[in-house]
Amino acid sequence: MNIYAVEVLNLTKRFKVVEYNPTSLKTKFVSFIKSGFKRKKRPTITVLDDISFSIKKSTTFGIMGKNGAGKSTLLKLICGIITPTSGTIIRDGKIVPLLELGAGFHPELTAKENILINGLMLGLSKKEIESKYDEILDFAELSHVANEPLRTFSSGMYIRLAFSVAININPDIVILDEIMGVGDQSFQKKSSKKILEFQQKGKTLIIVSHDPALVERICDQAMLIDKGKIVEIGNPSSVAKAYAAMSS
Amino acid sequence: MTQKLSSIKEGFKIPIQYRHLIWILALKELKIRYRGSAFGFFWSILNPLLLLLIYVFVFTVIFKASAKAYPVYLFVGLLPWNWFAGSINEATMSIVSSGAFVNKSTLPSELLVIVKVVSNFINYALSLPVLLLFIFIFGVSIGLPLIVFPVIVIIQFFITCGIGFFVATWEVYYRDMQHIVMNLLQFLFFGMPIMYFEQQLPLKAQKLIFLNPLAYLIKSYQSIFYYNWFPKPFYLALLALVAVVVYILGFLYFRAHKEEFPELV
Repeated sequence: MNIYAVEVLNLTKRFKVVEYNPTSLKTKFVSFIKSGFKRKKRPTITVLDDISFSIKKSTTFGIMGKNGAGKSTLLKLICGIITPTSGTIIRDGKIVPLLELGAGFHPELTAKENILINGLMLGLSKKEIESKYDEILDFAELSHVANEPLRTFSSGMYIRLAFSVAININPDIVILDEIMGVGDQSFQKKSSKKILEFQQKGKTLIIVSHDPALVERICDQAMLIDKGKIVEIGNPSSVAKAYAAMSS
Repeated sequence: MTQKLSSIKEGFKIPIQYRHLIWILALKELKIRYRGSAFGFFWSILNPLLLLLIYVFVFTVIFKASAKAYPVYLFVGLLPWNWFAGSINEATMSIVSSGAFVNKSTLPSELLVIVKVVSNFINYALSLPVLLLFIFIFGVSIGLPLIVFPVIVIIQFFITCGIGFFVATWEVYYRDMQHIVMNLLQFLFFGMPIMYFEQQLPLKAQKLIFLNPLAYLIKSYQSIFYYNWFPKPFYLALLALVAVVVYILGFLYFRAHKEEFPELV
């Protein structure tokens, strides 16, 4: 039995610079001729540079870093949405990517229809979702508008629904990308309680946050990354301090 | 080589493994298309019917087409063509317009293409009762050859998905693709005996248009719904082979490029 939920070994991710990506045949053709019929090699940027770390099972792992540090890329790699340029990622357990709330929601469909589609996209079966309708709607406090199209919702209602779908799915490894602090105070309280429940059930949580207090409070371990490299990893309070120092 | 084989196997596994999701997403497409309209799904029937009205007017009143039950002939070819053209048009945009799906979900993005083909198929299936009504009104006799219908539908499904994989991939790299596809479809439409009968063409042209496998496909529909003939088994088998090959090539091509999609859409 593996003691790690996620192991990342010498992970590097480079992106081709998109500006150089021709968007029309004409541009491509013209640049092809100008360059003397040679294919242009597109320049790359290194978003993650030879990173290694591991996350123990049943722990909560916080990731901090400034905008553009490579956090979201790292999460996408962990979820398997994009593939590494080099290095390996070993995962043990079912991962549900909750990278962005309400990804795939459609304003013309009702709350219920959106729950179904969102749930299916996150890897649940139709039966599982149907048994969870009430729970999800209840948690979001939206039972009374279950059959209304989403475009009639306020942005608060929208985000509550998205969060509720995300949180009521039952993965082994939960990934939360800056989605804490959603909704009003009472909803936030409920959300924190749900996270605590996850921790008690022995789930592995990976949390990206800009909130040092939150990381200190709920994480067992934390990591600070900057410009694609690990700056500090270990004790959440020292990582939170390092992040605060870096930001000021 | 073995890797290629296993990914070919996966290509055929995807539509089966995700059938529930594909079905629900395809229904969603239709729901969104018709949501808020008073006629709803009825538009799936009304649209081809109105189009048919125009064609029938042009060909029987202006060009004086004298073929027996011409509207039936036209309808039989036009409906599956709409299924094909609609799927390809939508499949072209399927990847570039689904940033959320490609970027945030671990589901195979092949599904997006397949969903377009299935949702257009549902559209087609919904208009079948009208076709049968026409057949009845014009007294065209149909019978046993109808049992081949599911085979033709399956063949068309795989051909359409295969081509859809190609155009969806190209669109990611070159946004010109949607316009090219739209125009190619126009050419293709007139290059097939849908509005006219192949016998009306000069002999050389007749040979030429049947270099296009899709012309056989349309002809198969016409033989079962209009002529009450069985399509020639040899041609049907050939068509099935083409469908499988196109599907596999399209799938492999898509597969080879899909890793780059999240970075480009």
